Amino acid sequence: MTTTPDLIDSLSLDLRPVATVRKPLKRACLWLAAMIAVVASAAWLTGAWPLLLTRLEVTSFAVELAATLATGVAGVAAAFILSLPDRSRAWLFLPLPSLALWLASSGYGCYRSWLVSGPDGLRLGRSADCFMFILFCSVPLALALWLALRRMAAGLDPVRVTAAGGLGVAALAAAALQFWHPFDVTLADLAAHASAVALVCAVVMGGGRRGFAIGASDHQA
Amino acid sequence: MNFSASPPETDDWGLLMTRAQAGDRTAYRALLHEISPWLRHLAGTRFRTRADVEDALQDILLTLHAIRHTYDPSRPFKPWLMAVAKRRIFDRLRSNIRRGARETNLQPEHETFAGSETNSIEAESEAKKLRHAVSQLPEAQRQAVTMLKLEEKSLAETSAATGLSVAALKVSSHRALKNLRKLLEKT
Repeated sequence: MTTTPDLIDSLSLDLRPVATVRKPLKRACLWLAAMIAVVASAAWLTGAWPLLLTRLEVTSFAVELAATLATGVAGVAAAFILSLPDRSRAWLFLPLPSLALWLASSGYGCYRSWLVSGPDGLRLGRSADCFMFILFCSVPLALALWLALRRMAAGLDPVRVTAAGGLGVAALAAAALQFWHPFDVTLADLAAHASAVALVCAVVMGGGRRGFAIGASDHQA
Repeated sequence: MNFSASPPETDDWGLLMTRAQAGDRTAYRALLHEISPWLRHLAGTRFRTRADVEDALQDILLTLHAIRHTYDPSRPFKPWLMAVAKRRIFDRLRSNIRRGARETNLQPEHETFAGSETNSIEAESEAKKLRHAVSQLPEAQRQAVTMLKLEEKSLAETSAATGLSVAALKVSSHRALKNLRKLLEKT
């Protein structure tokens, strides 16, 4: 067995200069700006902007979209902050207020849809498409987030980091969905959105422990 | 000192870490030597045996080495160190509990025959695996692990025989053990 003094000697001999990581909020802002730019460009290329701008005139939809986007932004920011060991673990709760508002505004949309359309308000609609969109849009976002967090110390607390990151990624995907979702949310849609978000969170959290495993990689032969 | 106790007031640690991030080996060695007794004490509040405490301490030091770039020199060092140490100790405790739940120590009655000759096939197979793993190591690491660990020669003897410095032998031996662990885990 290597003794501790031997280990200290070998770690010291192996020491190389390292660049310290940027402030987590600055990194989160850069990452979010890049991702939002990609989605906004895709919406512009597919001509989805005018429809979204028209729908934003309805206050309830604007609130729902703002809450979804805020949940995504807060989740991603929390994941960056939590991936540094000396930051408060309470940052995990940052996305919760906007998540509550998102669920409440979506629920209100369903209720209104049911009031206006009667039983049709509970129809299945295009829930399966929404579900698949959130899943497939989350994959590149989750990979991009993993790449951005890999150099930090996410492996020290993978559960909290991936919980916040998974929620952030899924919420961003749900916000992006609104560009190509030109109809009110039905109960089935809401269930599809919530299931997709939960599934993305579960998958990201499941993969997080392995994906962020800390190894003394720069201390190996 | 209980688990939530803070490290002693030593403001120099942050400075030493900042110099270590810039590649100052002397500062890094001094820092690791200075924090080790405190980390050992911290681990000692959670682990019973001396070997477990040393394992936990080394795990913390390796983790600290791997994520040293995440320390922000504009912030205090002690909360950062405390968070890393606590996380690593909790991880090891959790892993020990899991292992304890699915593994049972072998008792004499678990053996069909207690005599060592009856277990020779298994022992031979293990030795074969180890020989194969050692043969896959780079030359310097193979020499270091063979002479220091298997033949139990001293550092001075091995240094004289191989022409490698004592420091280089220590590094090679440490790396060899890590690589062997990986190789044997694969088999």
